[in-house]
Amino acid sequence: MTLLRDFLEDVKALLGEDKIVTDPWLLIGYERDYWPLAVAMEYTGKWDPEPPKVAVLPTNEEEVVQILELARRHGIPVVPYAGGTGVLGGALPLRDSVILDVSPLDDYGWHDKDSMIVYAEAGVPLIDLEEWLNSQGYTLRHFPQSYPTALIGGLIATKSIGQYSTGYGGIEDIVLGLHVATYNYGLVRIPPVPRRSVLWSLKHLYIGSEGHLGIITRAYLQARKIPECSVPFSLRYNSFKEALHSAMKLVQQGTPPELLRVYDELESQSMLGESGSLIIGVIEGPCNEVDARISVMENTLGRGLGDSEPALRWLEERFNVIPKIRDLAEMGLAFDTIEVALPWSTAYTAYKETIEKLMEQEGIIYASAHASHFYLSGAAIYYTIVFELGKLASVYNKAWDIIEETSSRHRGTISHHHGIGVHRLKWLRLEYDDNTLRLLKDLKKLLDPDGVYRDESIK
Amino acid sequence: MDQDLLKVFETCLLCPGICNNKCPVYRKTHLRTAAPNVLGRLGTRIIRENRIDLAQGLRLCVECGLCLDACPVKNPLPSAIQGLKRIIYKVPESVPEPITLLEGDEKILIVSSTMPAQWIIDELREQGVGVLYLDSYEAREQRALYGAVGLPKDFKEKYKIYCEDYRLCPEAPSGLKLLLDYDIRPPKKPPAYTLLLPCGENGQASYEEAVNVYGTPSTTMDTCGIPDLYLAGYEVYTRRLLKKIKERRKGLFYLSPDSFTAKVLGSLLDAPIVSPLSYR
Repeated sequence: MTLLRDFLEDVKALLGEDKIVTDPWLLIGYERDYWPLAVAMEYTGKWDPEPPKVAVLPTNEEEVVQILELARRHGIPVVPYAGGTGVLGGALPLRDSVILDVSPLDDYGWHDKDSMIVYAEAGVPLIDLEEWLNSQGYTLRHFPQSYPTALIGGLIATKSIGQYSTGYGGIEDIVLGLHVATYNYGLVRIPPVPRRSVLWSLKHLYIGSEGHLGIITRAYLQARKIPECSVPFSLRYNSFKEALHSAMKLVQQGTPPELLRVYDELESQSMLGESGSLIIGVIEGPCNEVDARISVMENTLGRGLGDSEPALRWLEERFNVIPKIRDLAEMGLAFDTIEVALPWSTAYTAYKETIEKLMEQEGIIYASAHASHFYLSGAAIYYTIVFELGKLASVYNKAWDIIEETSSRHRGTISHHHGIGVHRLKWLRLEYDDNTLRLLKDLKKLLDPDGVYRDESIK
Repeated sequence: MDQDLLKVFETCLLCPGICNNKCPVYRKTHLRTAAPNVLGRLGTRIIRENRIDLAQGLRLCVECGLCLDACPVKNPLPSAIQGLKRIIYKVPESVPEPITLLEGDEKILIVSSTMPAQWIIDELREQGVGVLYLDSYEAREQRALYGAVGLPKDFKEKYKIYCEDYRLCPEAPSGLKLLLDYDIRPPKKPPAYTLLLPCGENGQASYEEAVNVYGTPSTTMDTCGIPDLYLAGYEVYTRRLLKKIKERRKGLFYLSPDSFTAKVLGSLLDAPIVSPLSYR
């Protein structure tokens, strides 16, 4: 506590008192992020977190660097906090740490309009930036589930992906440059360029770094023109296996829809009220090109694209998760979502095995999945598990074990886009062999020799 | 405490904060407690665990309703916060409701019947003139103050007389100022406890002044410490009402309770806004 007090005195002297928050009633918002387990436990009155003791709210990049330098001097760990929408506890406070809230860094605008490059500080809400771009005929086309709430810095730090990823990629595909605050290299500036071949990619080092290597303070992002035409469609199949195979054909024929989602039988019923397995999608672009692509897709599948109604319904309701969560909570149930990515060659087998194993577990009410991000080589499978909160201790980690282990064994990854946070650290060993893990840890030590940036557990 | 209120707060607790970025107070102050889903957690703890020490977080909500507009399930957080404030600060039910947009006909549109200007509204209504009364955070604070210190039962009667007097007093700096001067006269029976909400451009009573008047233990909520809250409140009202005002501009008489709102709204509408001071 003495260290923290001394640190605060220095921060006060440097930045002024108004950028420091210490009152418990002002710190409650930093107790957790949107990790479903934490949400469920708080709802049931079982959440007993390590309360944060202090948050600092710097208003510019230089102040972030100065705070990090002071944190290093006093040996205080720093946990960055943006929109608080992470689902793996990555923003949970550590004991005697300081929360660094990036939300006051909220400037954005055109960096180079001719090149359609915008700049946005870490605290800019994605929804603000998108609406501002839309008003001028532009878009980022990046719509993660956290779209209404998330801030730019958090999205990049966790390597976010959006619902239109099949057409426009993940956030790594729209980040052209970055600023990262560090305590040992000052403000690291990676200027925006169309592409760079200058040794290894520093930009990619920081995208998805989850606060372990520095604090992202500013990004340069690629905007694009709002598509002229947007055509929603649906396809109905008897089974998830057939639907997934059709999605593969759509993706591999070369011009897949910008948005594509494939629901297994259970989710088709529970999410969209449809029997069988449903595909929904949106094809976007210049109108004549969209028409041509629809023909190509129909030829590929040997059938016409179906009605737009289910896709429109989904688009309308896609951010409204509350009724389902509330219903579950009131029934004493909790949920979690676990996303992995698998090659096409094993995707369905891994899915089937995972669901079967999950359903054998006592306490799991149901397990389902959909695929919502697609690549030439494979797809992201997004599992939803619903379990009895009363059996949390016995079922929660077991379910995670099943999903992560099965994905790994079938040559998949343990995480497609939610990142690692604190909860997923225990499965890192499934992703890399010992030597590669050592490299990961050595990199962390090299860039954070004084252990200032958040969780020490990957040191 | 009230289970219905708890249910509203719990729903926000479960939410990732879909409306957070629409909250003007959170956006201006960056105080995370002001984010509506955090206020949901705050309200839940206050009720479940009787954590009155957290209650001052509720003051960050100006009850503008923008979160409700953005909420996919239309969870009534602003009114739940208002309800909880009433319980905690023992504000009597007789205190007028905060701003509610009531759709009126083309001739009469009363948005709020806040006390300070009720007499003008009544008079204009008698004349068949539509009135759009713009409430403000400040004005609501005034009402909270009256409620908390306990208005005399005959306040309304006296107030009418006072207002009539006021119309004969062109030097009066502002209606609210005089009103507060009136209100902080020692009541016949001093209240056991005084809750003060000082601040605002109308030069309301200082904390010390009121303590001296009452000589009772007092709490100040010190909203002056977060001046952006005022701006947030004004901005919200003006933005939110702008559309409706434009739609109903014809035949409407605009009235503002204070010069700041009048100035902001006047500039937005490019139209003269009448405040109590200039209405004769």
